Amino acid sequence: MEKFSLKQLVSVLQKISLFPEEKRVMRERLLLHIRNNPVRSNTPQRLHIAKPAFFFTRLTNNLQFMPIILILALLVGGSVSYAAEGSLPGEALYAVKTNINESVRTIVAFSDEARASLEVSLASERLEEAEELAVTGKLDAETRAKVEKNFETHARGARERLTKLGEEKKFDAAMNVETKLDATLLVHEEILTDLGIEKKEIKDSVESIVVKVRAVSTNTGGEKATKTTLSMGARGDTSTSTHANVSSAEGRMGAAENKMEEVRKYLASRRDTVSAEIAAMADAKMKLAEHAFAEAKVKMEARSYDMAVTLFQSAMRLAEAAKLSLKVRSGLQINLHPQTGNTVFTTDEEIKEKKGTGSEDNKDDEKPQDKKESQEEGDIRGSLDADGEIKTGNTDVGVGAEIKTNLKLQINP
Amino acid sequence: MHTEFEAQYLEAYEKYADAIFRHCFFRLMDRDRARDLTQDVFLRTWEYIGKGTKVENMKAFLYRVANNLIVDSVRKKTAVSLDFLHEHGFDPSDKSHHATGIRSEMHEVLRHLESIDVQYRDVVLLRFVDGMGPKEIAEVLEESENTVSVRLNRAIKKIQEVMRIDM
Repeated sequence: MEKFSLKQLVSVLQKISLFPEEKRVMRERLLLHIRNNPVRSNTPQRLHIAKPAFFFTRLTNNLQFMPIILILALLVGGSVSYAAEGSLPGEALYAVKTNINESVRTIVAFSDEARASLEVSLASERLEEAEELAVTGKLDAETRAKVEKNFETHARGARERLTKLGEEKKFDAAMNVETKLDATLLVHEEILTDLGIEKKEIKDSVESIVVKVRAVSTNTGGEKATKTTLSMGARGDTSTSTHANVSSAEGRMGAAENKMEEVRKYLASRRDTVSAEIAAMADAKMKLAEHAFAEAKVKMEARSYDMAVTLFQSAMRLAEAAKLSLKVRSGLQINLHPQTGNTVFTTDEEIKEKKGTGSEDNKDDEKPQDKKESQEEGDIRGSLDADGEIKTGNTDVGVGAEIKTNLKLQINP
Repeated sequence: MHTEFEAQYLEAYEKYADAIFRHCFFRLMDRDRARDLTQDVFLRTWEYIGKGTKVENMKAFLYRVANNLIVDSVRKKTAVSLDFLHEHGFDPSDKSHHATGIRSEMHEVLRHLESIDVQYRDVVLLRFVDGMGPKEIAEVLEESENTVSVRLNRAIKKIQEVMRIDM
């Protein structure tokens, strides 16, 4: 008998697979089954349950947190309210979502931090809705204007609550919320800009939203006030000290560590279910976060507690951004609206193109861009090393935006 | 809201359906049964994630469900004879073969796979065809990693004897 190698053996065996026809038919059957047996879960991924931002863990997927949905159900008569959660502007149930569901969430958000955090979540959701509509080409001028207005309301609301938290000297809470807000703005600006590049027809409407997003993040008025308050907070609660002390730095370190661990677990669990590009984007952010964290520790050892706190905040913000980026981008990948059930097949083709199996225009537009992105984020790292400090808050958002919109940008170390 | 679940699920299907089918085929030696079983795997997986339970490792989960279904299926059916295999295990119009040359190779290979102890065959499949490491195999078969490693080593030795393959 002929001797053959393991490689040959394996390659022979691996030739067995489903026929394309078989695969397609099975997929259709599964899809039908999915439609008839929708998710019965009471904690769908996109439902942000009001919670202290600091303690976000996978517990929210636990049935322990079901009660909020029960409350919603009791108040509004169940399935309508639940069904409304996924609705978009322009749909009948959208009014239920914004008026009733979100009111309930506000009522249930007890602490000031929870309320502020909720405002950030709502602002984020408005943007996510806009992005979903943009992807399916349903973002008309009127809807967009509404979305922008609502987004601004929530964003400014978040800023106001932040200022209030600062006044009440709840500095840890304020910093947690600010981190979340900054991360949200950063990620959505990136995504919107990417969408504008991918789908040229929606470029203008998307740009309009981006402008609004940037306005909030560089809002000098409320923002400056917040920064002052927070930097006071970094110095500790006592007004006599002029610098952040060891304990406040350690506090922020703990917060950053928890956030980063949470995001690592999240990324690990979702990695298999998203495309390589999306995973890579999130990974890049996490790397930046880890870098910031490491630098922060160095500063701590050198007793530069102000710098340490700032850098821990950066780490936390970047980690949150990594998670949000993965979450929102994977949600946008396939849009499975009941009304447009057939779209699922076209978008699958789009995904295949993105994964490099096709050769349509999309692929050409995207691939170089993705490469540039990871390359430029590497450049940022380089520039960070040279400067010895990481710019925080608004500047980061600015830098991020520059990368995406001006692909020829040279980042000088 | 459940958009994300659906999206993840369908992505997992695209990614793993062929591999699961292949695995089922080599263990059942029956294309039709393998196909039906693959569908069952995905149906059951939907039931599971439809309840909202998070699946940490989708790949391992799918293989585990498949493994359990295969074991049940094998228990119910009687052993397949070699002739039956030759008659029904191959689809003459199977386009995954380019020439008869390969098909006869396949005959050879499958015959030897059949002759090996079932437990050895399974770990070998998971290791070399499905490309899993001992840890993942342990997760799929719900055995200890140690057991798997030991079995793998013995299986490889056995195959080398039986098939005279260079490893």
